[in-house]
Amino acid sequence: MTTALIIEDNENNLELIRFILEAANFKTRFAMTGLEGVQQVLTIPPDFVILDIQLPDINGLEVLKRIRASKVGKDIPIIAMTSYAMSGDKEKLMAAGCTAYIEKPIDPTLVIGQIQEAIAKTIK
Amino acid sequence: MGKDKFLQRLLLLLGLLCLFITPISQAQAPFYEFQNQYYPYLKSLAYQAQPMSAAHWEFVRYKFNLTLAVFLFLAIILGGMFTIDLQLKKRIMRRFSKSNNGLDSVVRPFQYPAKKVVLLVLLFLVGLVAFFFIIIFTYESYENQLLVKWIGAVFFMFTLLGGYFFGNLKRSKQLEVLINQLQLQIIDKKAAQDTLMQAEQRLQRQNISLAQLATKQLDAWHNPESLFREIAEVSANALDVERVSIWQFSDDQLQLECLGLYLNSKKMHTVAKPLDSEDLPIYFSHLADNRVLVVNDILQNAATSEFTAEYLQGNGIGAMLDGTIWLNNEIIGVICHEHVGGARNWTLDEQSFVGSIADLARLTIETHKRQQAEKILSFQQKNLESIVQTRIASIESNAKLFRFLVERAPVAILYMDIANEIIEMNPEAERITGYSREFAIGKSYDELFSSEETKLYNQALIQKLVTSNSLQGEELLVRCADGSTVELSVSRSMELDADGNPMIISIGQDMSEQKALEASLIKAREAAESADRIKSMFVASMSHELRTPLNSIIGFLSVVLQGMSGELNVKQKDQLGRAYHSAKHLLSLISDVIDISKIEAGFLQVHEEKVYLKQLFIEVKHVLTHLAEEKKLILNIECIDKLQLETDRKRLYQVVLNVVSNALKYTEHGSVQVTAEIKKDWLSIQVVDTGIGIAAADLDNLFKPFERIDSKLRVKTLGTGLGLYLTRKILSQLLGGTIEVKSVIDEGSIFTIKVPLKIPKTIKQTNISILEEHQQKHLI
Repeated sequence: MTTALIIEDNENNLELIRFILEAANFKTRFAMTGLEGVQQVLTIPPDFVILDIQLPDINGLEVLKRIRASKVGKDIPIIAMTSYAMSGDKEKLMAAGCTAYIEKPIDPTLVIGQIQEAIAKTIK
Repeated sequence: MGKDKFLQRLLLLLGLLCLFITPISQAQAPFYEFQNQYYPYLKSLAYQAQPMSAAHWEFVRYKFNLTLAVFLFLAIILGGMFTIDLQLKKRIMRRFSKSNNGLDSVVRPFQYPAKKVVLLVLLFLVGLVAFFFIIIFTYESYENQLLVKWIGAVFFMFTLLGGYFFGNLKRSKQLEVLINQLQLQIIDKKAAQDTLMQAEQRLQRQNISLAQLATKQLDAWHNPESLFREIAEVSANALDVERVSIWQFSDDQLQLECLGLYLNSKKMHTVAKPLDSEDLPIYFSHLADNRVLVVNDILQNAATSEFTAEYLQGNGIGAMLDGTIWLNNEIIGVICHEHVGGARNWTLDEQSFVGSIADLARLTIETHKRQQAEKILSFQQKNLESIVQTRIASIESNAKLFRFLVERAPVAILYMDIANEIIEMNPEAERITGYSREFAIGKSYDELFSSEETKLYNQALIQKLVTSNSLQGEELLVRCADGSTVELSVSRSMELDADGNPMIISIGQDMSEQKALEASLIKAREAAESADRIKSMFVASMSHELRTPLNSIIGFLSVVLQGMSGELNVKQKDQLGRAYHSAKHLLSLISDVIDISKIEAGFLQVHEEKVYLKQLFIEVKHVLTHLAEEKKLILNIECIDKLQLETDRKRLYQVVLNVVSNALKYTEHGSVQVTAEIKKDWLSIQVVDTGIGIAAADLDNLFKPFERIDSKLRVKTLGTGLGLYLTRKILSQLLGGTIEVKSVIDEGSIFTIKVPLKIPKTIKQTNISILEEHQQKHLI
């Protein structure tokens, strides 16, 4: 079973993502802060990461960079989610090694497809 | 002479005859008798007292009478001669003294030679007595021979005397001749003296005339005509000439114009006709050659040969004396003296007088001219003086004003020479630098105001000034008296002073206050900016905070609506659907507000990239197809492949999406056509709908926030009310584009979007992206 690590500080959003992922038969773990998320990736690497950009301690870009800087995290698919993006934000994230980029609010019917597409892209 | 001489000689002869004839004839007989008869008697009479006989006495008486008679004759002769001599002398003396009368010499009256007369009479008496006694008492011893001897001696003596007188007489005659000669000389001399005196008097008269004219001239320079009259009159009187005229040459020297003619006998001033050089070429040439033209006899002189006999005879002119008037080596006129009544020999002094008169006339003319020139000059000078005074006054007031300005100016002003020596500084310079004016003047700029570091800079400034003549706004650190430094903004210019030396005027503005002000302004601006930032940040983070719960609301509603959490009945589905749409609306409202606030705060940065319009249109169509199909509208959104531009893709997308979805929203039937073309440097997108249209009155409100046009569709349409407002803001502030609308009610609208192919460089915004927003939130 594929395991997803959700790094999200908002409990409700976390619950929504978790519900959608579990409904699609993914196994989920979560971290409520960026540092915790990085820690989890390094200790027990998940199959992919759902990363919220607005985090209370270090932001998602920083988390992304740290994961990509590590040996274990350099190939893990990371799907970034932001509730509101500016021009160039997507490019910055993609340049930092983000696998896919999903804007909030998420559409439950589409999000699984986007995730699977991203995982498939990484595996290739 | 004959009479005197004859008388004298006659008398002398008579005396001699008396002497020789009388005694001899008378004494012939008696002497012989006497010798014989009376000798012893006479002897006894002398040496012995013997009585004398009557015959003796008779003899003695006879002898005595004889002697007396002889001496009487002698006396007569002597006296006569003497008288003649005296008469002669007297006459000579009289004549002499008479001739002396005119010479004013002292004439002494004739003195008789009394001593001489007394001596002669005494001599005569002594001779008589001696003769008498000898005749009487030497009778005996000498007898006749002795007597004759004595008589001869006496005769000799008298002859001598007579000779003396004769000689005297002769000398007197010679003297008379001499005297006569002398007298003639004296007469000549006197005549000469008289002539001389006359000449002297004439000269004196002339001199007086000249002096008189000279004084007149001084008085009457302003009226030369009256002076000319005066000259003519005086000259006529001085030379005793009938006609005196003054003539002036015309400018071309061809004509003589008469300034005045004076007729002495009539005491009348008149004017004569002008004379032409054509008629009188010889006269004119003579005038030009002579200072004084002397014509003693008009009939005999070449100069006046041209004058018609009529003129000369008609006026009775016999002689002329013309004085020419010269000015600056040019003959300008002539004074003519015409003598009436035959020839006249002009004396030298008269000639020279005429010369002087001519000079005087020249002086008059010259003085007149000079005075006129002086008058004009003095007028001009006065004029000039007043101008100069006005100038000076204005210069002074200017100088005063400048001084006032310099003293009150709130900038430091230094006046230096090229060697940087301070010549003047104003009170503000004193205030800023702390050096007193008295201390600073004469010192070098560097010595006072420059430190080691600024010295070089100042010198470089001077160099620059020399080449460019002026500097502006150079910032210069100036060392003050207390050692502190002040930053001045210095403007310098180079000017030439009155002597032509280059001088430097340095004007320095104290920058410290301005700097402080600037700093405070920057601070204030920073504060304001940070306040604005805080506000924008607040809005941004607020929206984030607002968005986060909305995201989960929308997400869960979506999950539930899709039945992922179990089946819903129709009513539930409908109600949850309404909640879902409201949440979506709220989210887009919040997004628009964030966009607007960010644009207004200037925090949005454009992200320029290459955009293929066709790709963008496909995305828009993809998003909106669902809505068009729902409303059964035809959506045509197409363009040719190669249309591309460099702009912010996301923003352009947002704009196109907004406008097209707007068109769809307000169109019930028909179609929405979107076309694009490139004109020059602009991309033009037209969105044409067949919608309800917009009233002209509402066009102005179309792009204002929350201004939705009242229509029957209002209830049905969903929108934030910020769409077009945001669209225009994005276009104008981020992409440098515009949007225009044309519309006809119930027929449709045409929206035209124009975007430059490249974003203008003037648009530079600070981007606060989501990524940085987070960090800044922490900073706040």
